[in-house]
Amino acid sequence: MSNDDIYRQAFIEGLSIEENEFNEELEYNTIVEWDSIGHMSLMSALEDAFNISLDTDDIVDFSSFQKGKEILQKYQVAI
Amino acid sequence: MLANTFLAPQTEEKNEKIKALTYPREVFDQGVVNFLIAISQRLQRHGSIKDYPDLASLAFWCRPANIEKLKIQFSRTSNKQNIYQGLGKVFHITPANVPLNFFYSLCFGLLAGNANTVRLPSRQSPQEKILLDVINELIKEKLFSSLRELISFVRYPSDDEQTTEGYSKNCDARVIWGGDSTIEKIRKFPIPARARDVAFADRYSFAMLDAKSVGHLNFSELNRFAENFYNDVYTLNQNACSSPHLIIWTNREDDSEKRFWSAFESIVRKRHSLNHSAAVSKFTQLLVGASEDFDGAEATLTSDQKQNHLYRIAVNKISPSLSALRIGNGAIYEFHIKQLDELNLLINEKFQTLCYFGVDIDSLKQWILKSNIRGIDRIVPVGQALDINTLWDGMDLIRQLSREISLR
Amino acid sequence: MFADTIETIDQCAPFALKEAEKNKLFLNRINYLNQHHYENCAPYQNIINFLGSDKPVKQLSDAQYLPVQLFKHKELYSIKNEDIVKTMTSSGTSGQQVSKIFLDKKTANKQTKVLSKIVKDFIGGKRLPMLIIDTIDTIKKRSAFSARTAAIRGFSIFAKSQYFLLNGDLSFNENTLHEFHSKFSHEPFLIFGFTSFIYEKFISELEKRNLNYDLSQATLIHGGGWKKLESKAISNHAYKEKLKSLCNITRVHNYYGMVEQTGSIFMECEEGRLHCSNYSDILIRDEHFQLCGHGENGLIQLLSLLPGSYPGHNILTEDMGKIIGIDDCPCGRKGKTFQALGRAAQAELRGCSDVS
Repeated sequence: MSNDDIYRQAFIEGLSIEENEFNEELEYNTIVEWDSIGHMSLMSALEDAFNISLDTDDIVDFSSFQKGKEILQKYQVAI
Repeated sequence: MLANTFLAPQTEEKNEKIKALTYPREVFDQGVVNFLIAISQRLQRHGSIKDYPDLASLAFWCRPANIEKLKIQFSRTSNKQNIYQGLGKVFHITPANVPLNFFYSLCFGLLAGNANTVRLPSRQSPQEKILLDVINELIKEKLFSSLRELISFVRYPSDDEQTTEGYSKNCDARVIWGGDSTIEKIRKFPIPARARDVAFADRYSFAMLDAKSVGHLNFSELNRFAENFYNDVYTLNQNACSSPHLIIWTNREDDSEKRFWSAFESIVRKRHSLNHSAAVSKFTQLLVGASEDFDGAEATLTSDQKQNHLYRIAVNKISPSLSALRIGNGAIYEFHIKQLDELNLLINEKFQTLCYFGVDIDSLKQWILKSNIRGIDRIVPVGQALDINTLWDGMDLIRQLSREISLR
Repeated sequence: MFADTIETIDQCAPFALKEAEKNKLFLNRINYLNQHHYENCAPYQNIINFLGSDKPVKQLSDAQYLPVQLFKHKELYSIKNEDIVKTMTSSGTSGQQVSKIFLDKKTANKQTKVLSKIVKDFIGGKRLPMLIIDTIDTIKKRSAFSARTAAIRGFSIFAKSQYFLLNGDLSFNENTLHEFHSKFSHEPFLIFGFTSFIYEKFISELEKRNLNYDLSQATLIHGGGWKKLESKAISNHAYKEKLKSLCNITRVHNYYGMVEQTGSIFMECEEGRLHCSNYSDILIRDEHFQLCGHGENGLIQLLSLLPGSYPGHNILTEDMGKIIGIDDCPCGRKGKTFQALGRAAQAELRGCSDVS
């Protein structure tokens, strides 16, 4: 699987959403699943998937699917 | 003894002659780490985690990456050559106001390499039950059998002094949550000469927000910021030691502040639900302050008319005794400063967490170094007020609960 | 300064005034008390100034109320220290802090008179033999005035002779019951006690011991709240049914009231409604303190015309309730009627010091 696929899959699993509910414009708090609790399981899913450890500041800044890509670059994860 | 929740059964040793000790262990023992991670994973798969934000945070807290982070945080400040080992047995007295607090206390004890007896709050919360069930299930697994002696939970009435006395007599460290009055009560019971107390006194926390920086936020940044601050204040009903009760504004800008409050209020209205009992209690605490004239300050109340979700009390004078007038359930004092030195007389040893936004960290650092203040043990960005860490209340809890063997 | 209307009200029968007339007199006295406490109780003045509610009000619902918990945190009184003749304390459900209520002679007298006026409306003017479901020790302690002490002492004015059913250790004393029964069971008499005591120490004991006394001449009055019986989940209806089937008691009146407003109690009438008298009123508010409509559940706010020595004339309780009607009770008494529904769920959060 490419990083891109892993990234998408982490969203689907982390937020417990169906594949057809997923889109690249997802933002924090725009769907019910991505609330503050969903956020935590999404972050765990990403950490597990890429075997990284996110900084708290980055967890706080992680506000959208797109923004997340930028953040992950810091962890040598290119998507 | 009225203890009734012994979760960890004493394992029968088959070979009594070479009975192996299972504790104390090295700090961040791999078995312990694996156990905490297993708890996190089991909880994240648990169906009811969505109903309990505090349980979700807990699962998030003991996820692999965070435990690893805590381990690195510890080793970064350690002497590579020395050995770090647990003390032995830790007795934890945990508070009822934060239902899952006991678990964090247990984690500190475990990660520091100790066996732990944890006194649970006398009333069981539903989230506590879920967590205990998970722990119980895991500990039964063969993989974690070596941890059985490290964890026992007890529940007995707080006036059962004999039991407290008994556990105190037989511990190597005692962790006391529950604030000043509990500490005073528990300290009556002696601990062994070599043992140590780690006590968490009543604390007060506040925020420092830079109005000018708030003014620079675009709409979605402002919302995100307001939401983070909402989590700091309203999670746990402003009842934790690190929940902010006061905003110190720097670089006063009335328009920016107004803009912030309107974003904040709309989040409060959307997310906060207030029950009747909390509303009365909140109003009572407000009037306790008012009856004392807020220690001589001129105070203006701003509440969204006809709503009890948020009380804002702007004061024109501020004194340490204001920290005794905390209200809770969503109430915030506000005070404006021109320079940090104005706070020198305010900050006493009770001040714990400062959560900041837009404030220049270097000048904050300089101020703390030069002002000789006795308080403030944590400085974190807005949104992280409640993130519990092994560095807490000005102490490294892993070090408090372990010993360092110097090796030359 | 407002003219004090209490004397006009004193001249009326306690449940005679209809809404409109009552309101005028009532509002006047509330405005009077507001001003009186504002001038004589500094902490109260601070509060009123802070809330900006220092103006006379035209509607009862605009009058500023204090949360009842405040009396647990602050000692509030509007009299000189040397004029305090009695200090009453609440039992306090959380067990830690108690309310302190300071009385001078005038307010204490007023409480006694009004209590008598209200209760007489239900039991008639004659003093009666009285069986108290408590121990005599409760009233012996002069200094500490608990809610129970105050209630028993208060109701003693209706007693011709008093019998205490319980021993010092609160155990049931059948001899006393036997003696009382043989002496008085053929004439009207009173049974009085706390709601939970009557259930646990009287009803339950009669059941357990399989005792059959005919107490059909009794009027039973009980108060103090249902909180302690919550675990037993006993309804007012079932309570009455038990009294009827066990010993043929058919006249049972619950009363509702706060130690902060002793005297102006709310009696339950024959129709099972709690009644405001001329001396009291009730409003129901939601969690944002907005008024609720009739029939809607909310926090009970109580007004009383009696408290002159302390600012307890307008209090917001932690109890839930709902208004049933105004001036329309089939029992014939005028005024508002309501139902009390017990403490609002989830007790006060007690901060970091709570390790219970």
